[in-house]
Amino acid sequence: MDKMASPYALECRAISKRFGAVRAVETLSLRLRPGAFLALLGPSGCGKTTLLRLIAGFEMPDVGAIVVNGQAVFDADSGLNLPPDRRRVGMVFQEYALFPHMDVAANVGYGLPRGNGRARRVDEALALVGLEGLHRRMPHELSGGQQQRVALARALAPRPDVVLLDEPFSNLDAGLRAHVRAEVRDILRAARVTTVFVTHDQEEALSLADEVAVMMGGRLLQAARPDALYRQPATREVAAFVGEANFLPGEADGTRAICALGAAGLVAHTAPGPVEVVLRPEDLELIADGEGAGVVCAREYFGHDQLVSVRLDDGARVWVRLGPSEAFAVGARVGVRVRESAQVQVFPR
Amino acid sequence: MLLPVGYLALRAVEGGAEALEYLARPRTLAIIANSAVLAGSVAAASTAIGVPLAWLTVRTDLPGRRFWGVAGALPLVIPSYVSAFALVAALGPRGMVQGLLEPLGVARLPSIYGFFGAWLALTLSTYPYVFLSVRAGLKGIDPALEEASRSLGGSGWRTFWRVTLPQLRPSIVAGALLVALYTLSDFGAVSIMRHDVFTSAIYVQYTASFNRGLAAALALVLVALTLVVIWIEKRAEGRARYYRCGVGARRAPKPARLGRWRLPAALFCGGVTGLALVAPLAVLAFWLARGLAAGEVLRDVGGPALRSIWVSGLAAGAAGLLALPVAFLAVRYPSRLNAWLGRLTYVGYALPGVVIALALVFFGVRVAPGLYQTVAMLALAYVIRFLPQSVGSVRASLLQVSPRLEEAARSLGRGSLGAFVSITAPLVRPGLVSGSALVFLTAMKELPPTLLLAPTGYDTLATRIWSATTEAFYARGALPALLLVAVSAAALGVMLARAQDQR
Repeated sequence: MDKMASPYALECRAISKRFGAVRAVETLSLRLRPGAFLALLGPSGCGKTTLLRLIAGFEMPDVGAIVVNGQAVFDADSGLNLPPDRRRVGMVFQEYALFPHMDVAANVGYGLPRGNGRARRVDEALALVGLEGLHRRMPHELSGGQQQRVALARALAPRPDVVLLDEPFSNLDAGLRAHVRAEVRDILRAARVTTVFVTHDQEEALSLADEVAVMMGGRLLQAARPDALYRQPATREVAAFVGEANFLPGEADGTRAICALGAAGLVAHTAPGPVEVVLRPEDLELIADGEGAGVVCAREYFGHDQLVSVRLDDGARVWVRLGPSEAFAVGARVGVRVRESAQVQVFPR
Repeated sequence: MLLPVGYLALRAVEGGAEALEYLARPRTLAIIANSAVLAGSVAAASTAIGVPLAWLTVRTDLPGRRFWGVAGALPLVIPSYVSAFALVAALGPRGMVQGLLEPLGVARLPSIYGFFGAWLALTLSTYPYVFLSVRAGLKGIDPALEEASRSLGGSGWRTFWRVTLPQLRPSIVAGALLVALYTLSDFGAVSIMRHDVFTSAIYVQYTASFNRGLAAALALVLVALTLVVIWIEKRAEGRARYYRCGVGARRAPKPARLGRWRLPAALFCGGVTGLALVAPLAVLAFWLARGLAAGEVLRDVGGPALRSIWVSGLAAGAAGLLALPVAFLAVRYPSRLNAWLGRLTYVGYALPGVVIALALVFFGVRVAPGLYQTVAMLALAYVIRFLPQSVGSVRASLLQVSPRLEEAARSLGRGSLGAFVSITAPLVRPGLVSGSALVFLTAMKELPPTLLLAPTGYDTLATRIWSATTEAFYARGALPALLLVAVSAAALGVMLARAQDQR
């Protein structure tokens, strides 16, 4: 095996995978430093689960190479394709896939070599996920959250180089989810293992991950820290998919963007010229003004804030985020303007 | 699996012009007519019994309808040749009834042999197929449809004829075709009743004539006939799915009030159960008691029982070993080749036991004389005939094992064989066990391969009953027959348990 000095725990080099005419993954490259915690975010059918299965070795890419911890596990050019059991990549399945005929200890110990160390490592792994003493339980005797933690302990027990999680929280009910998410993140942090998890829930991706990779149509559009992804999306699709966004035509003059609703600072230098301005709802404010340029047409109240939809006289519709106490009735005529503090991303038109 | 059909074709071709000529003879045409008439009339009679019985036990306020629901299906545990045996032992020459009537000066009863006996024995042991199919159909009908008909002004009768019955048609057709198929492939009942149909004619041709090519030609025609029935059945099955209502309204409909028809309805149910279940068992018990009194029965049953168990056990083990890879390939790697492999194992269903046995006789004589008239050959015949049962059973439990489990095992460091051994195999074990149990139990009941293929003097429970009937030593057949009823009951139990698991 060609061991290369590599600073990365996981590298995908221009991998592609087609199923018939469907391009599930298209020339995708990705690098993860050891200990990274990456969310793979995208709408359903964007190829994110396929990417996970390519990394784990359950599917074979058509082209490209995959390197785990400096060791190539797949290389289309040399014909190398390590089977899943020799990749040191752990996987937590969406439906957990606990072995129903084995108790918790047997499930967790399944990937460990026979010997004295096995029982101790099972104890460690169960302690890591906070399930000490449940060794003899059968999977069907566990709650959903417990099953997930057993699946996590089972994947972590053999100390893999990378752990992959496929939609790890989709099987939990909403009340449990926030709690389990934070727990799982803390467990994975404590294990200091490089992690990739797949989700279609942007809130989940932004709140949990150090880094979020947005996938659409089999392509990787952008991989960045959550705040950078939100404030400085690389493409219009990313801007529209991550958080709410209003797109208005405008002009950039080097340091500022000017549109019909006012002017805002730029998050990055842009060549002067006509642009499309990305205005987040919190970049806008409403003024009670009987002569204003818009009419309130809908209101979604969340408690900590609210989203108000305004139809402008030129036909465009914009979303505005307001504090919980501001009250604009549906049907009221209002003025809309860009907040002075706003820093926006623009795309050339 | 294709071996039997291939060999039959070969032998028939060798028979050449003579075989063709033989097939065109009036006697052959009579046999074809006999088979078709018997299959048709048994199917019709089964429908006439099964449909009202199903309706009474599912949709009316018949007293004790739960009990009748179970009792109506129970005749399934009596193999058709056992009910034929019971009929002959009761009504045949030197039978029970004649023995009772003799003091009254009745020297001869009207003959039970021939069409009537075969028809009665087969109807009584196969009507449960229609009964069960229609029961399932009735339970699947959306009661809202009948309520809609009533609210549109349709009377109770009109609703039954215009709404309920048309929806039941697919289940009736499916049940009746199953009965027809069973009748076509049945050997035991018709040969005990000395009725000339395909299966018995094939046997006679084989044992009495030197030209076995003729038997092969007859067998091929029978296979063709069977395939036609299966083809019709497959089409009816597809329609049935189309007819079935969604999961929407699943309320239990209001039972129909029988009123003054309650007594006749109860008598009908009691009559059917009495004829099909109680009477045969009573006849067997009578002859058993008679034999015990004469002190000759228990002798010689141990040997046949052990031989039945041994050869059926061999078949069950082999079927299990073969079913695992076949089902695994068909489920996990559904390529065209594997799908065909899976389908090929179902050939056994289309082949009546007498046909498979005949084909293996040819094969044994020509290709593998070392195997001819050995227990291994007999077990092979059972495997060919009953492999679909174990493949189906393993397939069903394999479908419930998520491929994610195998992938989880792979990602935890096991190779594909290791994952199969530690995860997949233990999880499909229940299906494997119940499939093999089913093969074991049905092989114990199977008569024709045993008659044709068993080593000389190797008699089993099934052949013991057959010879007891042909020689009119009814007392000797009673205990083996009761044992086989017990075996069939166990087989039914396995099937029901499996149906429960899959729910």
